[in-house]
Amino acid sequence: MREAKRMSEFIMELRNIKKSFPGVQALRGVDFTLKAGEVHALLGENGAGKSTLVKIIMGVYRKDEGNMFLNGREVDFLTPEQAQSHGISMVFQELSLIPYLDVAQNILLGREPKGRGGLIRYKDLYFQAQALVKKYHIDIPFDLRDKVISLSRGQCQIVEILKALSREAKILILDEPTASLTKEEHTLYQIINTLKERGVSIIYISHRLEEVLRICDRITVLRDGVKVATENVDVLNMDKVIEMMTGKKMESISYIRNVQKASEKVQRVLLEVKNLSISRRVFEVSFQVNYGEVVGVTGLIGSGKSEIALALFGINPIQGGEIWVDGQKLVIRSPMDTIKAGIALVPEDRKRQGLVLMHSVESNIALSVVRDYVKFGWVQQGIIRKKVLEQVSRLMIKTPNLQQKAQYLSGGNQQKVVLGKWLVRKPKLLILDEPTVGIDVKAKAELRRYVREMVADGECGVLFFSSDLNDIIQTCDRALVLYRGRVIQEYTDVMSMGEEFLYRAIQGVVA
Amino acid sequence: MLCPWGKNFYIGQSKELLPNFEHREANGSVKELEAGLRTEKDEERSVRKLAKKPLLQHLQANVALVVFGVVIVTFSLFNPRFLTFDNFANIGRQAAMIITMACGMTMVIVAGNIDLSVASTLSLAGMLSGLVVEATGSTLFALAIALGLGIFAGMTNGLLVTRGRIPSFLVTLGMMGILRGMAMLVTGTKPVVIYNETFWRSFGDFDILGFFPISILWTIGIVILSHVLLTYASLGRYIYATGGNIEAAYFTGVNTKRTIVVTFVIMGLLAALSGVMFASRMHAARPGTGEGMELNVIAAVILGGTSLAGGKGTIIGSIIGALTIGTLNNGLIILGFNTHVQMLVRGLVIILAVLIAREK
Repeated sequence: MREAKRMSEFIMELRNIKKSFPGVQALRGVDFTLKAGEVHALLGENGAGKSTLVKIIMGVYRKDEGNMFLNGREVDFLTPEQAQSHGISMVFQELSLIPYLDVAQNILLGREPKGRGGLIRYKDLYFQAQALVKKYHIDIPFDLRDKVISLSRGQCQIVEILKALSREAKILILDEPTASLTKEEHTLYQIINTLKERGVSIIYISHRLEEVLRICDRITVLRDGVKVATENVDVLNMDKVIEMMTGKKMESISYIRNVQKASEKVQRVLLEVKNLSISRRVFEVSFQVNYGEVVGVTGLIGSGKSEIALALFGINPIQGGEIWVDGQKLVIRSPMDTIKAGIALVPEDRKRQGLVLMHSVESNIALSVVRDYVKFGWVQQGIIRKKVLEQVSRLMIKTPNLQQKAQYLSGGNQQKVVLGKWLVRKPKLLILDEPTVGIDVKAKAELRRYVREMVADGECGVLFFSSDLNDIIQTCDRALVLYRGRVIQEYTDVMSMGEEFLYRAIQGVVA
Repeated sequence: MLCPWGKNFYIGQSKELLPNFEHREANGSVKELEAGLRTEKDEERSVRKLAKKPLLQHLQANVALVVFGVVIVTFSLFNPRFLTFDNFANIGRQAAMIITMACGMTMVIVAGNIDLSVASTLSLAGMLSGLVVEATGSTLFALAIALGLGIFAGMTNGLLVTRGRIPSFLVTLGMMGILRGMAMLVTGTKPVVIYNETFWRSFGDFDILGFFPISILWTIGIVILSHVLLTYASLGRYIYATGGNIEAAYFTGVNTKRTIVVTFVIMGLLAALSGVMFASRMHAARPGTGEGMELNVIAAVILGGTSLAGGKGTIIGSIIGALTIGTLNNGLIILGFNTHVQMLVRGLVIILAVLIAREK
């Protein structure tokens, strides 16, 4: 470590940062420090406040309270541009590259070298991009003249990092950089090492603890918007980190379930998945769901959860394997086939895939049953409205009236609308894909309760995909753990399992 | 039983975070349930943007109606001949085709697409119906051929958009040229003069009871059918959902491809019918008929409050939009302005209206 002994040893310091959103206190006074040339991991479960914190650093959100110091001077960024001009850059999970420009053009986008008359000098552009690559000794697994559209996701990530470095970034924020990587992981680690040597500080968000322990210098753990600890990596091991992350929660709402032991019930198989394979993401996955059962599926980002959910609903094609419902093999070409078979999906991205935001609560919920209440081509609006109202009242959706546009509801209520849309159809199998992301604690607890209520009469089953381990523990009868596209564990006694235990399991460390 | 675990359902540390357990039985009548909604404490109200003044909001919601009113009042003040039944029948006759096509165009645009080929469909359908009625003497057969062409053109557009995955702007731009070219080629650019009286009287050149133009009756029928289809039929729901968020619609099991194809077929059908109406009124079909008319149709729909981005719009709005443009043209002629001024004023009105209606 060779940081200059100036005002402090930290190039960035955050003190007592607070931030709340409607219904959620995301950060409750967080301190965070960053040394020059260190790789600092930011850890925590989903909803712990990691991404809120980095978005405040980047000027995407504004903090409610607290101070932020850069090189000893107080700063407050209103926009990401301001953060960037102070040498802070972030590689977002959703990449922001222009697909039909080549690598060099993307790196220098908006700052192209210009000649007489304001025209771009392409020769200088490639020269500058090349110089940047040389400066940081980066082995790039592609050519500077390759169009971005032809690159893999991992390669795009490297382009993003180069783009940040071309702006003289002193602080680089990486959000789940290896989630979608396989081949390029090592290039990324190599780049991180080079950057460290050149004094660039890195804030590293990841759920892969083994990787964090290997490449990071310090870690900070957040839980429920509070900093649990900041530690040097050399005094830690995986068990300690998991303990810090999953310790006692401030606001956990748990409930006692009256669980019938699986053996007491007559088991009727609802869904049977045999050797399901999805192109290079999921390999030979088999499992079954019985009537009256909630089966959880969990794993890290990139473990294949969403791929399975989408394939079962007929959105993504499957490469191999069979899907049986009620003892009949399903031929799936589109969601229309699976809906006919009684399957429903609450998709991961409720705003894009779940709702027509510009339409009313009523239209959104009614959309799934319009076809069932038609007489001579005429929609029976009265019957449908009654069904919609039943759901709104049962799910306690907070809306001033049925005509309210879905876009004006809070996240939790939007999710309830998506759920209500399927409950009116009374599906046999309900698939939930990350349903509790971005909704407040109360809505989360309510949602878990509805799921238990649904299966209580034994007339349907639920397949619950979630990376929130409390979802799994509190709601599911059985749980499958996915790791890199394979089922590595199946647990039947989920309720008595600790979060720590499950967290270790999703890391791929089979106990 | 919605809550089988009773009141000891949750064990939590902080009381105020506990979900509310009182839930109403969901068996009441629609009225009771709706009343329950209103009494529910709503946090969302604060989220809504209520900063807008109510008057301005109303004005924005009904901008086409306001513009229509302003246009009528203005012209009435300047010229007494404007406010007569004969003149309004005249406006109706001229606007009939635009309104008919605006009905189809509303569906196409609400579903998230656009159709530029309607004026070409109109002209080719007019030519074919003229040729067929002169050759066979059968008005019904002529109508069937014209409508068949409309369905075929619409189907082709729709399939190229959905299966071919080409943006509708490009597909219909191409189709616009193809159909116009065919209309020119079919007679070598010569017009078809129509002598069949049944044909004249069926669609255009006949006043019921001596005063009510038959073309307006046809149009009213189309308007009612289209409105019912878009508002009360399941297809209408699918059209709105597809245009509002095609991905969410697909995830809900809506056959989005079929929905889009159907909107194009209806559009083609109505464009062809308009072509027959025009040929019938003029006693002739010309290959150059209606050039540029597709833009008037689109302008009428947008003026009526339909969003070019899809998901939002009504037939009624489009009708008012079409009538506004028709009235504007008619009034300017009565006041003695030439077509160039008409174009200019029409352009200004469209931009102004959309400017007022835009949200935020």
